[in-house]
Amino acid sequence: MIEDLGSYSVGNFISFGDEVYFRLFERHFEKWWPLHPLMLALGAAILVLSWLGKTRAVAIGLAAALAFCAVTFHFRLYAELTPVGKFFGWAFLLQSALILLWGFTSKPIGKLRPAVPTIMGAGLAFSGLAIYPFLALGAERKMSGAEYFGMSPDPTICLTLGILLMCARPLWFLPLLPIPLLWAAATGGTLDALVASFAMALPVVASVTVAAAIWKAVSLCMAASAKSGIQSNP
Amino acid sequence: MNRRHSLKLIGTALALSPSAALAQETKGAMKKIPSSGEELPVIGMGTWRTFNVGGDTVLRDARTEVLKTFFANGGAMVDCSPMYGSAREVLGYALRKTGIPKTLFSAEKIFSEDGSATRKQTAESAGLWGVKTFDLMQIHNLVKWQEHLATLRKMKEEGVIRYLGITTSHGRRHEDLEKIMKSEPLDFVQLTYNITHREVEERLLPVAAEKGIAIIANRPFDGADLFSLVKSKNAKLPGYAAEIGCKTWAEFFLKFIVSHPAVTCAIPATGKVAHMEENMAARLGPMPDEETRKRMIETIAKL
Repeated sequence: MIEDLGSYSVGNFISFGDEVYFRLFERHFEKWWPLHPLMLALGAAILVLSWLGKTRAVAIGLAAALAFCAVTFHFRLYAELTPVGKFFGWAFLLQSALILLWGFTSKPIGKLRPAVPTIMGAGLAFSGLAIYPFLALGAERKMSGAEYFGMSPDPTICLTLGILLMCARPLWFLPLLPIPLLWAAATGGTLDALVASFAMALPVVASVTVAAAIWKAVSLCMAASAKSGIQSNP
Repeated sequence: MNRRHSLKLIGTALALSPSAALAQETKGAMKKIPSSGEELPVIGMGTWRTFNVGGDTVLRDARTEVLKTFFANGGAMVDCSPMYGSAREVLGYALRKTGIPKTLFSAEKIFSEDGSATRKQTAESAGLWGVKTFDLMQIHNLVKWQEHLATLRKMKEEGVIRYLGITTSHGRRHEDLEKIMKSEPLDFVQLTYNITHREVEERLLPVAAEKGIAIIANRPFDGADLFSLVKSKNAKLPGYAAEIGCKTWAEFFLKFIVSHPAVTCAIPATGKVAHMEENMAARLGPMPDEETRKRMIETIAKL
Protein backbone atom coordinates (compact mmCIF):
# COMPACT_ATOMS: atom_id res chain seq x y z
CA MET A 1 0.00 0.00 0.00
CA ILE A 2 2.80 2.39 0.86
CA GLU A 3 5.39 2.30 -1.87
CA ASP A 4 7.60 5.23 -0.85
CA LEU A 5 7.77 4.62 2.88
CA GLY A 6 10.84 6.83 3.26
CA SER A 7 8.77 9.93 2.50
CA TYR A 8 6.44 9.31 5.45
CA SER A 9 6.83 10.59 8.99
CA VAL A 10 5.02 9.36 12.11
CA GLY A 11 2.77 12.41 11.83
CA ASN A 12 1.41 11.16 8.50
CA PHE A 13 -0.17 8.23 10.34
CA ILE A 14 -1.72 10.24 13.17
CA SER A 15 -5.26 10.89 11.99
CA PHE A 16 -6.40 12.99 14.97
CA GLY A 17 -5.42 16.26 16.61
CA ASP A 18 -4.09 17.00 20.10
CA GLU A 19 -7.46 18.34 21.29
CA VAL A 20 -9.14 15.04 20.41
CA TYR A 21 -6.40 12.91 21.96
CA PHE A 22 -6.35 14.75 25.28
CA ARG A 23 -10.14 14.77 25.41
CA LEU A 24 -9.89 10.95 25.61
CA PHE A 25 -8.48 11.28 29.14
CA GLU A 26 -11.20 13.74 30.14
CA ARG A 27 -13.87 11.40 28.78
CA HIS A 28 -12.28 8.47 30.62
CA PHE A 29 -12.24 10.54 33.80
CA GLU A 30 -15.92 11.46 33.40
CA LYS A 31 -16.83 7.82 32.89
CA TRP A 32 -14.79 6.21 35.67
CA TRP A 33 -14.36 8.74 38.48
CA PRO A 34 -14.04 8.01 41.48
CA LEU A 35 -12.16 4.86 40.56
CA HIS A 36 -8.96 6.88 40.18
CA PRO A 37 -7.97 7.09 43.89
CA LEU A 38 -8.61 3.35 44.20
CA MET A 39 -6.27 2.68 41.26
CA LEU A 40 -3.65 4.92 42.86
CA ALA A 41 -4.02 2.91 46.08
CA LEU A 42 -3.60 -0.28 44.06
CA GLY A 43 -0.45 1.17 42.48
CA ALA A 44 0.96 2.10 45.89
CA ALA A 45 0.17 -1.39 47.17
CA ILE A 46 1.94 -2.96 44.16
CA LEU A 47 5.02 -0.85 44.88
CA VAL A 48 5.14 -1.93 48.54
CA LEU A 49 4.39 -5.58 47.72
CA SER A 50 7.17 -5.59 45.13
CA TRP A 51 9.65 -4.38 47.70
CA LEU A 52 8.44 -7.13 50.02
CA GLY A 53 8.80 -9.70 47.23
CA LYS A 54 5.14 -10.74 47.06
CA THR A 55 5.33 -11.87 43.43
CA ARG A 56 1.82 -13.28 42.99
CA ALA A 57 0.05 -10.33 44.55
CA VAL A 58 2.14 -7.95 42.43
CA ALA A 59 1.32 -9.91 39.27
CA ILE A 60 -2.41 -9.87 40.01
CA GLY A 61 -2.37 -6.12 40.68
CA LEU A 62 -0.39 -5.25 37.55
CA ALA A 63 -2.41 -7.61 35.35
CA ALA A 64 -5.67 -6.08 36.60
CA ALA A 65 -4.45 -2.53 35.91
CA LEU A 66 -3.22 -3.41 32.42
CA ALA A 67 -6.42 -5.26 31.54
CA PHE A 68 -8.58 -2.39 32.80
CA CYS A 69 -6.55 0.04 30.72
CA ALA A 70 -6.85 -2.21 27.66
CA VAL A 71 -10.62 -2.49 27.86
CA THR A 72 -11.68 0.95 29.08
CA PHE A 73 -9.12 3.09 27.28
CA HIS A 74 -7.73 1.27 24.24
CA PHE A 75 -10.77 -0.68 23.07
CA ARG A 76 -13.52 1.74 24.12
CA LEU A 77 -11.89 5.11 23.41
CA TYR A 78 -8.62 5.05 21.49
CA ALA A 79 -9.90 2.49 18.95
CA GLU A 80 -12.57 5.03 17.91
CA LEU A 81 -9.80 7.18 16.45
CA THR A 82 -7.32 4.66 15.10
CA PRO A 83 -6.85 0.91 14.56
CA VAL A 84 -3.72 1.28 16.71
CA GLY A 85 -6.09 1.46 19.67
CA LYS A 86 -7.40 -2.03 19.05
CA PHE A 87 -3.88 -3.34 18.43
CA PHE A 88 -2.64 -2.04 21.77
CA GLY A 89 -5.83 -3.21 23.49
CA TRP A 90 -4.88 -6.77 22.58
CA ALA A 91 -1.20 -6.10 23.34
CA PHE A 92 -2.04 -4.86 26.84
CA LEU A 93 -4.24 -7.93 27.44
CA LEU A 94 -1.36 -10.14 26.30
CA GLN A 95 0.99 -8.28 28.63
CA SER A 96 -1.50 -8.80 31.42
CA ALA A 97 -1.51 -12.55 30.73
CA LEU A 98 2.29 -12.68 30.53
CA ILE A 99 2.59 -10.94 33.87
CA LEU A 100 0.20 -13.41 35.48
CA LEU A 101 2.27 -16.23 33.98
CA TRP A 102 5.39 -14.62 35.42
CA GLY A 103 3.78 -14.22 38.83
CA PHE A 104 2.48 -17.73 39.12
CA THR A 105 5.14 -19.83 37.46
CA SER A 106 8.42 -18.24 38.53
CA LYS A 107 9.91 -18.59 41.94
CA PRO A 108 9.00 -15.79 44.33
CA ILE A 109 11.41 -12.90 43.96
CA GLY A 110 11.84 -12.61 47.72
CA LYS A 111 12.49 -9.43 49.69
CA LEU A 112 14.48 -7.02 47.56
CA ARG A 113 17.90 -5.68 48.38
CA PRO A 114 18.63 -2.05 47.62
CA ALA A 115 20.81 -2.46 44.49
CA VAL A 116 21.05 0.43 42.02
CA PRO A 117 18.68 -1.01 39.31
CA THR A 118 16.19 -1.91 42.01
CA ILE A 119 16.20 1.63 43.36
CA MET A 120 15.91 3.00 39.81
CA GLY A 121 12.97 0.68 39.21
CA ALA A 122 11.31 1.87 42.40
CA GLY A 123 11.88 5.46 41.26
CA LEU A 124 10.27 4.83 37.90
CA ALA A 125 7.35 3.02 39.48
CA PHE A 126 6.87 5.91 41.90
CA SER A 127 6.98 8.34 38.94
CA GLY A 128 4.21 6.44 37.17
CA LEU A 129 2.14 6.61 40.33
CA ALA A 130 2.72 10.10 41.70
CA ILE A 131 4.38 12.30 39.07
CA TYR A 132 2.49 11.37 35.89
CA PRO A 133 -0.85 12.92 36.96
CA PHE A 134 0.89 16.30 37.33
CA LEU A 135 2.34 16.26 33.81
CA ALA A 136 -1.09 17.32 32.55
CA LEU A 137 -0.97 20.42 34.73
CA GLY A 138 2.57 21.13 33.52
CA ALA A 139 1.25 20.91 29.96
CA GLU A 140 -1.59 23.32 30.85
CA ARG A 141 -4.23 20.64 30.45
CA LYS A 142 -7.26 20.22 32.71
CA MET A 143 -6.75 18.13 35.87
CA SER A 144 -9.74 16.03 34.72
CA GLY A 145 -7.55 15.16 31.72
CA ALA A 146 -4.67 13.99 33.92
CA GLU A 147 -3.28 10.51 33.39
CA TYR A 148 -3.40 8.04 36.29
CA PHE A 149 -1.94 4.60 36.87
CA GLY A 150 -4.40 1.90 35.89
CA MET A 151 -6.60 4.38 34.00
CA SER A 152 -4.28 5.64 31.24
CA PRO A 153 -1.63 3.66 29.37
CA ASP A 154 1.45 5.86 29.93
CA PRO A 155 1.58 5.89 33.75
CA THR A 156 0.49 2.23 33.82
CA ILE A 157 3.40 1.26 31.59
CA CYS A 158 5.76 3.54 33.54
CA LEU A 159 4.91 1.78 36.80
CA THR A 160 5.04 -1.63 35.10
CA LEU A 161 8.55 -0.96 33.75
CA GLY A 162 9.67 0.16 37.19
CA ILE A 163 8.31 -2.99 38.82
CA LEU A 164 9.93 -5.19 36.15
CA LEU A 165 13.23 -3.48 36.80
CA MET A 166 12.89 -4.28 40.48
CA CYS A 167 12.47 -7.97 39.58
CA ALA A 168 15.46 -10.00 40.70
CA ARG A 169 15.32 -12.52 37.84
CA PRO A 170 16.65 -11.14 34.59
CA LEU A 171 15.57 -14.07 32.41
CA TRP A 172 11.95 -13.56 33.37
CA PHE A 173 12.28 -9.86 33.02
CA LEU A 174 13.14 -9.86 29.30
CA PRO A 175 9.96 -11.40 27.75
CA LEU A 176 7.90 -8.85 29.64
CA LEU A 177 9.70 -5.87 28.09
CA PRO A 178 8.69 -5.74 24.36
CA ILE A 179 5.06 -4.61 24.75
CA PRO A 180 5.84 -1.79 27.22
CA LEU A 181 8.74 -0.66 25.02
CA LEU A 182 6.52 -0.77 21.92
CA TRP A 183 3.89 1.36 23.64
CA ALA A 184 6.59 3.78 24.82
CA ALA A 185 7.71 4.23 21.21
CA ALA A 186 4.12 4.58 19.97
CA THR A 187 3.05 7.11 22.58
CA GLY A 188 6.29 9.09 22.17
CA GLY A 189 5.81 9.24 18.39
CA THR A 190 2.16 10.19 18.73
CA LEU A 191 2.71 12.95 21.28
CA ASP A 192 5.69 14.27 19.35
CA ALA A 193 3.59 14.43 16.15
CA LEU A 194 0.93 16.29 18.14
CA VAL A 195 3.63 18.70 19.35
CA ALA A 196 2.58 17.89 22.92
CA SER A 197 4.54 18.77 26.04
CA PHE A 198 6.43 15.94 27.74
CA ALA A 199 6.17 13.86 24.55
CA MET A 200 9.39 12.06 25.38
CA ALA A 201 8.50 11.25 29.02
CA LEU A 202 7.71 7.57 28.46
CA PRO A 203 10.46 6.96 25.86
CA VAL A 204 12.93 8.36 28.44
CA VAL A 205 11.51 5.99 31.07
CA ALA A 206 11.86 3.12 28.58
CA SER A 207 15.46 4.09 27.79
CA VAL A 208 16.34 4.25 31.49
CA THR A 209 14.76 0.81 31.95
CA VAL A 210 16.77 -0.71 29.11
CA ALA A 211 20.01 0.89 30.35
CA ALA A 212 19.39 -0.30 33.90
CA ALA A 213 18.47 -3.78 32.66
CA ILE A 214 21.75 -4.02 30.74
CA TRP A 215 23.64 -2.80 33.79
CA LYS A 216 21.85 -5.42 35.88
CA ALA A 217 22.60 -8.23 33.41
CA VAL A 218 26.28 -7.25 33.15
CA SER A 219 26.57 -7.04 36.95
CA LEU A 220 25.03 -10.49 37.33
CA CYS A 221 27.39 -11.95 34.70
CA MET A 222 30.40 -10.40 36.37
CA ALA A 223 29.28 -11.65 39.76
CA ALA A 224 28.77 -15.15 38.37
CA SER A 225 32.15 -15.05 36.65
CA ALA A 226 33.90 -13.89 39.81
CA LYS A 227 32.16 -16.62 41.80
CA SER A 228 33.25 -19.36 39.37
CA GLY A 229 36.80 -17.93 39.40
CA ILE A 230 36.94 -18.20 43.21
CA GLN A 231 35.57 -21.73 43.10
CA SER A 232 38.06 -22.91 40.48
CA ASN A 233 40.96 -21.31 42.33
CA PRO A 234 42.73 -23.96 44.54
CA MET B 1 3.43 25.58 -23.09
CA ASN B 2 1.48 25.09 -26.32
CA ARG B 3 -1.30 27.31 -27.74
CA ARG B 4 -4.10 25.01 -26.62
CA HIS B 5 -2.67 24.92 -23.13
CA SER B 6 -2.35 28.71 -23.04
CA LEU B 7 -5.95 29.19 -24.15
CA LYS B 8 -7.16 26.83 -21.46
CA LEU B 9 -5.21 28.71 -18.78
CA ILE B 10 -6.61 32.03 -20.00
CA GLY B 11 -10.11 30.59 -20.07
CA THR B 12 -9.82 29.40 -16.51
CA ALA B 13 -8.35 32.71 -15.41
CA LEU B 14 -11.33 34.54 -16.93
CA ALA B 15 -13.54 32.99 -14.29
CA LEU B 16 -11.71 35.31 -11.89
CA SER B 17 -11.50 38.31 -14.21
CA PRO B 18 -12.48 41.88 -13.17
CA SER B 19 -15.78 41.51 -15.05
CA ALA B 20 -16.79 38.87 -12.57
CA ALA B 21 -15.54 40.93 -9.63
CA LEU B 22 -18.89 42.41 -8.65
CA ALA B 23 -20.53 39.04 -8.39
CA GLN B 24 -17.57 37.70 -6.44
CA GLU B 25 -17.86 40.52 -3.89
CA THR B 26 -21.12 39.10 -2.62
CA LYS B 27 -21.07 35.51 -3.79
CA GLY B 28 -17.39 34.75 -3.41
CA ALA B 29 -15.05 33.43 -6.03
CA MET B 30 -16.23 30.41 -7.99
CA LYS B 31 -14.43 28.26 -10.54
CA LYS B 32 -15.68 25.90 -13.16
CA ILE B 33 -15.16 22.16 -13.17
CA PRO B 34 -13.62 21.82 -16.65
CA SER B 35 -15.35 18.54 -17.52
CA SER B 36 -18.86 19.89 -16.89
CA GLY B 37 -18.76 23.67 -16.54
CA GLU B 38 -20.44 23.39 -13.13
CA GLU B 39 -19.20 26.09 -10.74
CA LEU B 40 -17.67 25.43 -7.35
CA PRO B 41 -16.70 27.84 -4.57
CA VAL B 42 -12.91 28.10 -4.49
CA ILE B 43 -12.76 27.23 -0.79
CA GLY B 44 -13.92 23.79 0.27
CA MET B 45 -13.46 21.90 3.52
CA GLY B 46 -11.08 19.06 4.37
CA THR B 47 -11.62 16.73 7.33
CA TRP B 48 -8.20 15.11 7.88
CA ARG B 49 -7.50 15.07 11.62
CA THR B 50 -10.17 17.65 12.45
CA PHE B 51 -13.29 15.48 12.11
CA ASN B 52 -11.83 12.30 13.58
CA VAL B 53 -13.24 12.88 17.07
CA GLY B 54 -14.76 9.42 17.70
CA GLY B 55 -17.80 9.29 19.93
CA ASP B 56 -16.96 12.52 21.78
CA THR B 57 -20.29 14.38 21.72
CA VAL B 58 -18.72 17.63 22.93
CA LEU B 59 -16.32 17.66 19.97
CA ARG B 60 -18.97 16.30 17.57
CA ASP B 61 -21.16 19.28 18.40
CA ALA B 62 -18.19 21.63 18.01
CA ARG B 63 -17.48 20.20 14.55
CA THR B 64 -21.16 20.57 13.68
CA GLU B 65 -20.81 24.30 14.34
CA VAL B 66 -17.76 24.38 12.06
CA LEU B 67 -19.74 22.70 9.28
CA LYS B 68 -22.68 25.05 9.86
CA THR B 69 -20.32 28.03 9.53
CA PHE B 70 -18.90 26.55 6.33
CA PHE B 71 -22.33 26.27 4.71
CA ALA B 72 -23.45 29.65 6.07
CA ASN B 73 -20.49 31.22 4.30
CA GLY B 74 -21.30 29.65 0.96
CA GLY B 75 -19.18 26.49 1.29
CA ALA B 76 -19.96 23.49 -0.90
CA MET B 77 -17.19 20.89 -1.25
CA VAL B 78 -16.59 18.68 1.78
CA ASP B 79 -13.83 16.10 1.36
CA CYS B 80 -13.32 12.97 3.45
CA SER B 81 -11.81 9.49 3.32
CA PRO B 82 -12.17 6.05 4.92
CA MET B 83 -8.58 6.59 6.04
CA TYR B 84 -9.60 9.43 8.37
CA GLY B 85 -10.71 7.29 11.33
CA SER B 86 -14.18 8.26 12.51
CA ALA B 87 -14.39 11.38 10.27
CA ARG B 88 -17.07 9.94 7.95
CA GLU B 89 -19.28 9.02 10.89
CA VAL B 90 -18.75 12.44 12.51
CA LEU B 91 -19.60 14.16 9.21
CA GLY B 92 -22.80 12.12 9.12
CA TYR B 93 -23.59 13.26 12.67
CA ALA B 94 -22.96 16.91 11.74
CA LEU B 95 -24.96 16.67 8.50
CA ARG B 96 -27.93 15.21 10.39
CA LYS B 97 -27.80 18.21 12.73
CA THR B 98 -27.32 20.87 10.06
CA GLY B 99 -29.46 19.22 7.44
CA ILE B 100 -28.01 18.51 4.03
CA PRO B 101 -27.98 21.73 2.01
CA LYS B 102 -28.59 21.60 -1.73
CA THR B 103 -25.21 23.24 -2.22
CA LEU B 104 -23.29 20.33 -0.64
CA PHE B 105 -20.70 18.92 -3.03
CA SER B 106 -19.77 15.62 -1.39
CA ALA B 107 -16.28 14.35 -2.15
CA GLU B 108 -15.23 10.94 -0.82
CA LYS B 109 -12.43 8.53 -1.48
CA ILE B 110 -11.89 4.85 -2.04
CA PHE B 111 -9.11 3.57 0.18
CA SER B 112 -8.77 -0.17 -0.18
CA GLU B 113 -6.18 -2.67 -1.32
CA ASP B 114 -9.10 -4.80 -2.48
CA GLY B 115 -9.67 -3.67 -6.04
CA SER B 116 -13.19 -5.11 -6.02
CA ALA B 117 -14.30 -3.13 -2.96
CA THR B 118 -15.14 0.10 -4.83
CA ARG B 119 -18.94 -0.15 -4.76
CA LYS B 120 -19.04 -1.65 -1.28
CA GLN B 121 -16.88 1.08 0.23
CA THR B 122 -18.80 3.80 -1.61
CA ALA B 123 -22.06 2.48 -0.17
CA GLU B 124 -20.52 2.18 3.29
CA SER B 125 -19.29 5.80 3.16
CA ALA B 126 -22.65 7.05 1.87
CA GLY B 127 -24.34 5.31 4.80
CA LEU B 128 -21.97 6.95 7.28
CA TRP B 129 -22.44 10.40 5.74
CA GLY B 130 -26.19 9.92 5.44
CA VAL B 131 -26.24 10.73 1.73
CA LYS B 132 -27.60 8.66 -1.15
CA THR B 133 -24.40 8.91 -3.14
CA PHE B 134 -21.44 11.18 -3.76
CA ASP B 135 -20.80 13.99 -6.19
CA LEU B 136 -17.15 13.05 -6.46
CA MET B 137 -15.44 9.76 -5.71
CA GLN B 138 -11.64 9.74 -5.70
CA ILE B 139 -9.04 7.00 -5.47
CA HIS B 140 -7.01 7.73 -2.36
CA ASN B 141 -3.24 7.92 -2.88
CA LEU B 142 -3.40 5.88 -6.10
CA VAL B 143 -4.10 2.68 -4.12
CA LYS B 144 -5.17 -0.05 -6.61
CA TRP B 145 -6.08 2.75 -8.98
CA GLN B 146 -6.52 0.64 -12.14
CA GLU B 147 -9.18 -1.60 -10.59
CA HIS B 148 -11.00 1.17 -8.71
CA LEU B 149 -10.92 3.53 -11.67
CA ALA B 150 -12.54 0.95 -13.94
CA THR B 151 -15.39 0.52 -11.47
CA LEU B 152 -15.74 4.25 -10.84
CA ARG B 153 -16.03 4.81 -14.56
CA LYS B 154 -18.95 2.35 -14.70
CA MET B 155 -20.51 3.98 -11.65
CA LYS B 156 -20.29 7.36 -13.33
CA GLU B 157 -21.95 5.99 -16.47
CA GLU B 158 -24.71 4.54 -14.32
CA GLY B 159 -25.19 7.92 -12.60
CA VAL B 160 -24.18 6.54 -9.20
CA ILE B 161 -21.50 9.23 -8.91
CA ARG B 162 -21.19 12.47 -10.88
CA TYR B 163 -17.42 12.87 -11.05
CA LEU B 164 -14.36 10.71 -10.53
CA GLY B 165 -10.83 11.53 -9.57
CA ILE B 166 -7.59 10.46 -7.98
CA THR B 167 -5.57 11.88 -5.11
CA THR B 168 -2.08 12.17 -3.75
CA SER B 169 -0.53 14.27 -1.03
CA HIS B 170 2.81 15.44 0.35
CA GLY B 171 4.27 15.48 -3.17
CA ARG B 172 4.27 11.69 -3.48
CA ARG B 173 4.13 9.67 -6.71
CA HIS B 174 3.93 12.65 -9.01
CA GLU B 175 5.42 10.78 -11.95
CA ASP B 176 2.78 8.06 -11.70
CA LEU B 177 0.07 10.66 -11.28
CA GLU B 178 1.21 12.55 -14.36
CA LYS B 179 1.06 9.36 -16.43
CA ILE B 180 -2.46 8.67 -15.19
CA MET B 181 -3.57 12.24 -15.89
CA LYS B 182 -2.27 11.96 -19.43
CA SER B 183 -3.70 8.54 -20.14
CA GLU B 184 -7.01 8.37 -18.25
CA PRO B 185 -10.04 10.64 -18.47
CA LEU B 186 -10.38 12.19 -15.01
CA ASP B 187 -12.67 14.91 -13.70
CA PHE B 188 -10.61 15.78 -10.63
CA VAL B 189 -7.11 15.39 -9.27
CA GLN B 190 -6.33 16.19 -5.65
CA LEU B 191 -2.75 17.05 -4.75
CA THR B 192 -0.68 19.06 -2.33
CA TYR B 193 -0.14 22.68 -3.33
CA ASN B 194 0.69 25.62 -1.12
CA ILE B 195 2.97 28.62 -1.08
CA THR B 196 6.02 26.63 0.10
CA HIS B 197 5.26 23.43 -1.85
CA ARG B 198 4.90 24.46 -5.48
CA GLU B 199 6.46 21.49 -7.31
CA VAL B 200 3.15 20.79 -9.04
CA GLU B 201 3.40 24.11 -10.91
CA GLU B 202 6.09 22.55 -13.09
CA ARG B 203 4.22 19.63 -14.60
CA LEU B 204 0.99 18.54 -12.92
CA LEU B 205 -0.90 21.83 -13.02
CA PRO B 206 -0.07 22.45 -16.69
CA VAL B 207 -1.15 18.88 -17.52
CA ALA B 208 -4.40 19.43 -15.59
CA ALA B 209 -5.07 22.64 -17.53
CA GLU B 210 -4.30 20.93 -20.81
CA LYS B 211 -6.43 17.86 -20.11
CA GLY B 212 -9.30 19.80 -18.52
CA ILE B 213 -8.96 18.28 -15.06
CA ALA B 214 -10.18 20.13 -11.98
CA ILE B 215 -7.58 20.50 -9.25
CA ILE B 216 -8.28 20.26 -5.53
CA ALA B 217 -5.38 21.56 -3.44
CA ASN B 218 -4.89 19.76 -0.12
CA ARG B 219 -2.60 20.78 2.75
CA PRO B 220 -3.05 24.48 1.88
CA PHE B 221 -1.33 25.50 5.12
CA ASP B 222 1.24 22.66 4.92
CA GLY B 223 -0.42 21.09 7.94
CA ALA B 224 -0.17 24.05 10.26
CA ASP B 225 3.48 24.66 9.44
CA LEU B 226 2.84 27.90 7.54
CA PHE B 227 1.15 29.43 10.59
CA SER B 228 4.00 28.18 12.79
CA LEU B 229 6.45 29.83 10.40
CA VAL B 230 4.85 33.28 10.45
CA LYS B 231 4.27 33.02 14.20
CA SER B 232 7.86 32.02 14.92
CA LYS B 233 9.11 34.99 12.88
CA ASN B 234 6.48 37.28 14.40
CA ALA B 235 5.68 38.22 10.80
CA LYS B 236 3.02 40.80 9.98
CA LEU B 237 0.99 40.72 6.78
CA PRO B 238 2.74 42.74 4.07
CA GLY B 239 1.24 46.08 3.04
CA TYR B 240 0.03 44.80 -0.33
CA ALA B 241 -2.09 42.11 1.40
CA ALA B 242 -4.81 44.71 1.95
CA GLU B 243 -4.92 45.34 -1.81
CA ILE B 244 -5.96 41.71 -2.36
CA GLY B 245 -8.41 41.77 0.51
CA CYS B 246 -6.36 39.75 3.01
CA LYS B 247 -6.87 40.49 6.67
CA THR B 248 -5.36 37.23 7.96
CA TRP B 249 -2.55 34.90 7.05
CA ALA B 250 -5.13 32.19 6.31
CA GLU B 251 -6.62 34.38 3.58
CA PHE B 252 -3.15 35.20 2.29
CA PHE B 253 -2.17 31.52 1.95
CA LEU B 254 -5.51 30.45 0.47
CA LYS B 255 -5.74 33.28 -2.05
CA PHE B 256 -2.29 32.38 -3.28
CA ILE B 257 -3.46 28.83 -4.03
CA VAL B 258 -6.83 29.47 -5.61
CA SER B 259 -5.53 32.32 -7.75
CA HIS B 260 -3.51 29.81 -9.76
CA PRO B 261 -5.47 29.45 -13.00
CA ALA B 262 -5.33 25.66 -12.96
CA VAL B 263 -6.50 25.25 -9.36
CA THR B 264 -10.23 24.78 -8.86
CA CYS B 265 -10.40 24.87 -5.07
CA ALA B 266 -8.47 24.45 -1.84
CA ILE B 267 -9.71 22.33 1.05
CA PRO B 268 -8.37 23.64 4.38
CA ALA B 269 -9.36 21.61 7.46
CA THR B 270 -10.16 23.17 10.81
CA GLY B 271 -11.91 22.32 14.03
CA LYS B 272 -12.59 25.93 14.99
CA VAL B 273 -15.43 28.19 13.88
CA ALA B 274 -13.22 31.31 13.92
CA HIS B 275 -10.70 29.63 11.63
CA MET B 276 -13.48 28.50 9.29
CA GLU B 277 -14.66 32.11 9.03
CA GLU B 278 -11.11 33.19 8.17
CA ASN B 279 -10.82 30.44 5.57
CA MET B 280 -14.12 31.31 3.93
CA ALA B 281 -13.20 34.99 3.79
CA ALA B 282 -10.52 34.00 1.26
CA ARG B 283 -13.32 33.66 -1.33
CA LEU B 284 -14.13 37.33 -1.09
CA GLY B 285 -12.50 40.41 -2.59
CA PRO B 286 -9.88 40.65 -5.31
CA MET B 287 -7.53 37.79 -6.11
CA PRO B 288 -3.79 38.27 -6.58
CA ASP B 289 -2.55 38.61 -10.14
CA GLU B 290 0.60 36.91 -11.41
CA GLU B 291 2.83 39.77 -10.24
CA THR B 292 1.33 39.76 -6.77
CA ARG B 293 1.66 36.00 -6.56
CA LYS B 294 5.40 36.39 -7.11
CA ARG B 295 5.55 38.98 -4.33
CA MET B 296 3.67 36.60 -2.05
CA ILE B 297 6.24 33.85 -2.69
CA GLU B 298 9.09 36.28 -1.99
CA THR B 299 7.43 37.45 1.23
CA ILE B 300 7.30 33.92 2.61
CA ALA B 301 10.73 32.94 1.25
CA LYS B 302 12.33 35.88 3.08
CA LEU B 303 10.99 34.76 6.49
